[in-house]
Amino acid sequence: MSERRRGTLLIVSDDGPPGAPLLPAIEIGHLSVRRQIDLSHEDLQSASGLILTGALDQVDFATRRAAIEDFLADGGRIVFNGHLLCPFISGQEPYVPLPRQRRADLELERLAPHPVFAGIPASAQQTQMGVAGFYGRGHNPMLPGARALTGIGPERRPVDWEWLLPPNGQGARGGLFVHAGNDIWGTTDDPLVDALIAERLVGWSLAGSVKGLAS
Amino acid sequence: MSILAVNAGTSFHLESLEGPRYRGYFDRIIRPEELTSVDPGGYGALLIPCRTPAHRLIPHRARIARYLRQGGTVIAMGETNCDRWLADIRFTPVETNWWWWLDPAGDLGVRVAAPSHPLFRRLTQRDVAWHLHGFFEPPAGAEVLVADREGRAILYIDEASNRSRLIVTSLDPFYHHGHHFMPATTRFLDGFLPWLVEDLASRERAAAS
Repeated sequence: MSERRRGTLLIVSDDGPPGAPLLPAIEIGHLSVRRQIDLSHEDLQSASGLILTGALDQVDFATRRAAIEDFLADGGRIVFNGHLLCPFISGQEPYVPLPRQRRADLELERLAPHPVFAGIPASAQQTQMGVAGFYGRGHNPMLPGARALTGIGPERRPVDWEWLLPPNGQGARGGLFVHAGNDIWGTTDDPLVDALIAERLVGWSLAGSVKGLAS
Repeated sequence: MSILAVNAGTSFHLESLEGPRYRGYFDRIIRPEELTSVDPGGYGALLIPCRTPAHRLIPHRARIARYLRQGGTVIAMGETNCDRWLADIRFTPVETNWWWWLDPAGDLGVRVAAPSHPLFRRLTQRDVAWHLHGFFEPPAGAEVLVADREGRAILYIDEASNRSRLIVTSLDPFYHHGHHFMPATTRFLDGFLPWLVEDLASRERAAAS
């Protein structure tokens, strides 16, 4: 693993402030806030992870492709929320909205276990105030080798997925956690569940460059 | 007359501005930072879509103000914190009621305040009611087109302050339309953008005659 790597950066692209579920991680120093317009090449070299919100300036982010691919190869991890319209690494394809968005088309189903969702049923994320659709209304196509975590609709399109690179020479595994909807730490009616997801995502983003936590 | 639109690069900006439904309304689309090099003076209107971050517009306050003094039209849409990059904007945010429509008898209270305005040949009251994010205190002489239950402005046109024209709203249709979520916002843009083009053309004809 790279000795340079430290905490995760929350990339703030709007006027802020950061979502409340992320504040504990910021307070204990696992997560640092960086405005996207201030994000530097050095930041990408020194961070363990990046957490991107649905407000990401995707035009800017796509211009950083080479640095991002280096970041991932070096064990860096990226949490992506939202609809991908500007691919930022090779092989990505743009967001695909659901062709129909009736209630049955928005059903969620957990497709594979994952530490971020341990003990959290998809039903907890299905609705807010009884209304479905905030969690997702489509999917970002998976990269080859990705693992679908949550499916949406009868065809179980991958609204959440994880893609991990093989361990690099230092044993680090960079990768992506992709959620195709509103920021995932704000998609339930239970603030404790939202806080738990936020905490676990920060942990996941840190794990890529820590030996023994790489899988 | 033509429209210069600013694209801050968020997914909903890309979908709304670059997607096929509305792309033809914009003569040029630039990044906020290009306001240092692109003179809006060559365009009939400068459109700042909803949720464009204020911190990316504040560095261009002087250029926007100069454009307004020269007689330009600026459209400042919702959640852009436009009181931070435009002068003489008085805005009060309100806590948003996201759930008013769950009650079959629910009424957000948004009202068309100037039904004879040409915009409302293309829009009805149901096309302007989705969320309420805040209200404005427009300057004297401004025309309030849409108001909240208390009659406070949520969409107004100010042509009285100087040579300029400001179209200011707390509505955020580009955001919801670009998220494929909220049909009223698509109906709003279906009416608002053709009205804007028609309005700019009629102003140009009037200026030429």
